[in-house]
Amino acid sequence: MYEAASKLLNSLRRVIAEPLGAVGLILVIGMIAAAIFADLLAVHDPTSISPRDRFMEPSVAHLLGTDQLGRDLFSRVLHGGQIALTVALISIAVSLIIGVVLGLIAGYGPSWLDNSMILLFDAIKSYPTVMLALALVTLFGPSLTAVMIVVVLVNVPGYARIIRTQTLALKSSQFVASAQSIGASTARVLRVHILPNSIGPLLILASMDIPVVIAIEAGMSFLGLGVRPPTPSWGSILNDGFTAIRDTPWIAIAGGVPIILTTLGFTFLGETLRDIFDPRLKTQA
Amino acid sequence: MILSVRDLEVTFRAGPWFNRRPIVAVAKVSFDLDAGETFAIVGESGSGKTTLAHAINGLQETSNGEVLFMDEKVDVSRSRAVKPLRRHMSMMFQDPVGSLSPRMKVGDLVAEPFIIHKIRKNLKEEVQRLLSLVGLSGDFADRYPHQLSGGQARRIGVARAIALEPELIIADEPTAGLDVSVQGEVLNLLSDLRERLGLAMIFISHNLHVVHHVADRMAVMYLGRIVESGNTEEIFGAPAHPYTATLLSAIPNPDPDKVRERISLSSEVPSLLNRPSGCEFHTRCPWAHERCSTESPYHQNSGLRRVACHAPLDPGAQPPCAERAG
Repeated sequence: MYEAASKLLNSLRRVIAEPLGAVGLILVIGMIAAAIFADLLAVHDPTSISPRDRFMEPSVAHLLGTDQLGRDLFSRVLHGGQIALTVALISIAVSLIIGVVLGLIAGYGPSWLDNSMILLFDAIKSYPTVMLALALVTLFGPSLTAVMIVVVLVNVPGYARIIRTQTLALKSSQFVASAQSIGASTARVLRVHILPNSIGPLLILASMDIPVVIAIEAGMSFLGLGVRPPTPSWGSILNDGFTAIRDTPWIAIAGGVPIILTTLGFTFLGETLRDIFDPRLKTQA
Repeated sequence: MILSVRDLEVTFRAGPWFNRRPIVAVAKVSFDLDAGETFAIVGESGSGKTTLAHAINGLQETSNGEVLFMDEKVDVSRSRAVKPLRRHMSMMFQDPVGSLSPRMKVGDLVAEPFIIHKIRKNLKEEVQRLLSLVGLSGDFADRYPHQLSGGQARRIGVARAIALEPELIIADEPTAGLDVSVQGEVLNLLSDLRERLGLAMIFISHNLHVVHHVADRMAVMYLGRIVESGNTEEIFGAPAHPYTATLLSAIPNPDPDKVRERISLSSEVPSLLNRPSGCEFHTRCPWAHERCSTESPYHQNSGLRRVACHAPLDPGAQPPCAERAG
């Protein structure tokens, strides 16, 4: 327990030592904190409409201005962040778990299983995201769960393919044969020898997928397939702002800047973590 | 007798699905190994040495024959039955660094055999003991494989191999990729441990000097078959198979006054997909005659010295054809 904590602290220290990592960490923590404390930070109700206050420029009362229905954008951005981050983190985590398990099975198992799984992945991948979304929403109705299922379906084939390729390459390596010659079980070979050596690129990809998921959520919310109108979401704020971007650019800015900052934050953090966890890239201390 | 290999065959399938052709990588290999004995397997690249080693260890499926280790059958399809055997048989792989899992620290790598076989011991102490046994300081436990030199990585491989005090070590090219002084160190380490722990060893190499130095008995492989086997001293003194004679004549001799006739082979190694008829060495053999191209010599097994040849050589024989001899 103590050892795990000190390990975590140690890696945290090393993340901060890298300028990119520090920026990424600050952005990510800031976004998460803003989402967690949204109710405390936002003085206005994010959904209350006030037609008299519509299209107000940023001011002390409304830090980011108001939108076409007079709703306070600062409150909407904070609450939108809650939804965006929840959807992104949960669906990426679920995709990772399913993708890793399927990828290991495909890569390590017999070739007939590998071939049929690859066929299935390609079949899923060949559907456009929007088509999948439409089909699922027709089945289950528009909801955040539908958004997450779409994201998982879209991401799992790619994740599984990455792990599969790595597993295929590693399973004939000498260190795997060496572990087998000692008597390591298949589970141990996969868990101890193949997974740690193959997950690096996947974690980078996943951290860079977080903003993509936020965009999928935004897109689906815009189409009415995700979060429904009164509930705030960065995507819907951005889309609200598009129509009036010439006269009232702050609406689009309020929706767009958090997406950009979150993208950068997770990307920087992901890259720094990869550098730290790959001992081959480590510089001698 | 600790290990008995009987008519072992390993077959791979190659080619497109409509034209799968079998490649026999190891063909009808038989030999026995006594406890504490060192048996060398030599042969050029692609002669099936490593495949044979993998088959003995149960890493490679076999198509025929059997491997009996400590009177138990090594059966790849029954991994549960093989696992306890692996406690007593360990393997060293060709690539010293590549056979160490890159994200594990040396300490964890050396402790892995104990973890896999659920042997409760003070692992930290055990790792330190093994590291000092292979001549490395305890600080190495915190290093990663990529921070090791080839010789150090090889020592870690040795530590892993002897961790559970096995009865048999299969060492696949333990000196490959090391410079000469490190080779010497590793060989001394191995023979030291062999004497101290009384373990048997299968020593795979194409370095004949080293084989002469360490092995009690040896076998020469050509295209997956053992063409000659017997006591190392006897074979080095008087090779009976033309192929063995050719290999031995290729050893560079450091003594400048000693002029040795080198037998050189003109043609390439035949493809495993297209094995020659009769004696498979007849396409390259300077002594080959008519009978060799039609009749297989691979049944001539008798006694301790086995030679698969229709006309075994007399000691000191020189190749008959001038244009084939170098």
